[in-house]
Amino acid sequence: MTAREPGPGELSRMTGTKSGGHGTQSSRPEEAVVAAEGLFKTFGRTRALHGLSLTVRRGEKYGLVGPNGSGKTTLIRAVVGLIVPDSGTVKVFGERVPSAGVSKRVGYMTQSAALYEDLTVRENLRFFARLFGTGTGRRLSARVEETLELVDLVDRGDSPVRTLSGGMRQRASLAAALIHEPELLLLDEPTVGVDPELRRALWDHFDRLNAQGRTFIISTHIMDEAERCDRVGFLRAGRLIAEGTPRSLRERAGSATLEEAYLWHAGRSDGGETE
Amino acid sequence: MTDSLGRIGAIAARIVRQFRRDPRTIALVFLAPALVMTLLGYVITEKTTPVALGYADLDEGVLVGGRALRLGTLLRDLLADEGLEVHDYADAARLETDVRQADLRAGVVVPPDFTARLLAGEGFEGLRLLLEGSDPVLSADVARRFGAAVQALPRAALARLQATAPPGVPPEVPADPARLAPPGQPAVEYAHGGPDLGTLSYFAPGYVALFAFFFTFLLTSVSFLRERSSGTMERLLASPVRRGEIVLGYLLGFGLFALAQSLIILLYAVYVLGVRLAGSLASAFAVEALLVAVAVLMGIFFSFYARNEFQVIQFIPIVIIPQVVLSGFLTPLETMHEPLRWLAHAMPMTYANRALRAVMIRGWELGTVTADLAALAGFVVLFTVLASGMIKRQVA
Repeated sequence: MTAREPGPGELSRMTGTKSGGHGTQSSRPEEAVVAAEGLFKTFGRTRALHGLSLTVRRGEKYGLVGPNGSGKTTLIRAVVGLIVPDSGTVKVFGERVPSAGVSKRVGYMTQSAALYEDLTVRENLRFFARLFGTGTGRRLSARVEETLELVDLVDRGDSPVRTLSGGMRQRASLAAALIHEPELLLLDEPTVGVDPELRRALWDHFDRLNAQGRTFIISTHIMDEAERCDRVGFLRAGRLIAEGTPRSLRERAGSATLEEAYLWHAGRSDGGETE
Repeated sequence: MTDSLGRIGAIAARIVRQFRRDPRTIALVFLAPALVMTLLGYVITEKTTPVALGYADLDEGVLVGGRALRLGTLLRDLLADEGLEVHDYADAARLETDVRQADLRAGVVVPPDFTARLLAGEGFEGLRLLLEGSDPVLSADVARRFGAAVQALPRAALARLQATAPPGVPPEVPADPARLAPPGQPAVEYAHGGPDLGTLSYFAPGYVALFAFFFTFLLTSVSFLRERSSGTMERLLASPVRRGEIVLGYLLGFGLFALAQSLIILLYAVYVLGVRLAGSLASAFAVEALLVAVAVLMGIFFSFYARNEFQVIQFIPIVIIPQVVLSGFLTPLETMHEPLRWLAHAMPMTYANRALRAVMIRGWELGTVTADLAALAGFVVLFTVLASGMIKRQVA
């Protein structure tokens, strides 16, 4: 893994609102953080990915939108390196996944909390911090406290996860994904089963982290959430049928809502036309 | 390398921490084996209530020097000395009925001419042992005691004769006492143990191995299953941790508990229950350590074939009971059918049992059981590869 110095023209963006806090590992702003090319993946008889390509740039908040079974989770897992596609390549930070170097720079959160129920939030965070090699001793403790603050869980840090409410669990889960200060966050339906108030709070967290320069890929089937993304990709049957800013997607479809836009684009893709 | 050790240590420490949060499991792991061993100790130990033996003594005896000599009475005393509770019966028919109806487990019928025949050099012709017979262990035990009493009879009879008979051998006594009590007795020598080696001492090594394997296997399986079902496995795999490191972390974390458990069982068996430990505790512990490692690795491997805790319980009859039956724990390997013996040699408990018995009963050291240790080490390598492979397959 080679660290690249930003070029002169890129400095303005680096130091702008989305300035990164990721030390020596910064890449070019316009460089693709995620570059997936021609992904195919079948599980038994189900086709999860069907020639899907995706590029996500640094600092972007990219929304993956599509119904259940459209390939959102498979795509995210392929980017994390949890599945190997049948064909096609996934490069994250310019490196083929899975790679230990890349996984240190990626945070991953699933719809279930995926934490050790018997352990406290702090113990969970300390454990994952140690796996990611986030320092030891005082540095590790400082990092854990910082992360707890970030997700407003300082008071509940010593509660066993099993005693937390649904919303707190989700925040604890986000904290575990953030513990190693990843530059890229992959969130697979992070707000499923979460009440509207908490959903808003979580998205405020995402926005704040995004403002720090972190790149996001978030899958959702809630259109309000998709509206908050910089760019949205519509997924259908393992294909990317359309992508762009929420506004451009709506305008192209001539519809008032993203939901209508999705249906319009889906209809077009069934007609055999792709972008 | 240091990173790798750090991650392995983190996983092991996490497992230990989770364990500490679960006092019920800790109690199960540490107290249950001791409790079961104690119960078994009471059940197995021979100092139990003596078996009742019906005794129909029809012996009419013979006159020796004007005095009646009844060897049937002497045999009765010898049977009582062997630890049987002798109940007298007036007639043989009642005795036979009681044995057939299982009111009595065993009975002895002494014929009227018992003493006469014995003195005439005709041996024990006509003496009968009746066994109820539905419990082979009990039958064998009574038969053994009966045999010992009968074997002791000629010498005891000779002693009594010499004590009671007036000087000058009366004509009724056989001229050659050797016909009654042959002078030469076969020598029985034990290389290990001895006649006093208790049944519990024989079974204890097997129990020690079984407990260690049983609890370690199940706990690891359930724990690893939860790792998958709760989604934490996804998080682990998305981190820089390598699959082998996960396996080693588990090995270390669960290994610590399993070894503590083994040590407690061993110490309890030896110092509280008085089980024989002829070899060193360190050697027995080393064998346990290898077996426990196999149990952790097999636990991880098999957990991939279970979707929930209930399915883990189903591994008991599939993985554990065959090992109990075939590992030489209950029946010696030598007496098994050939195919079963092959099967037994595919099971880690077989080697652990053999090595532990050699260490605990024969007092052998590790250098003498290297073949068994090598086999166990082979299982460790095999299941490390298989378990790591399963984690990989889950991902693909």
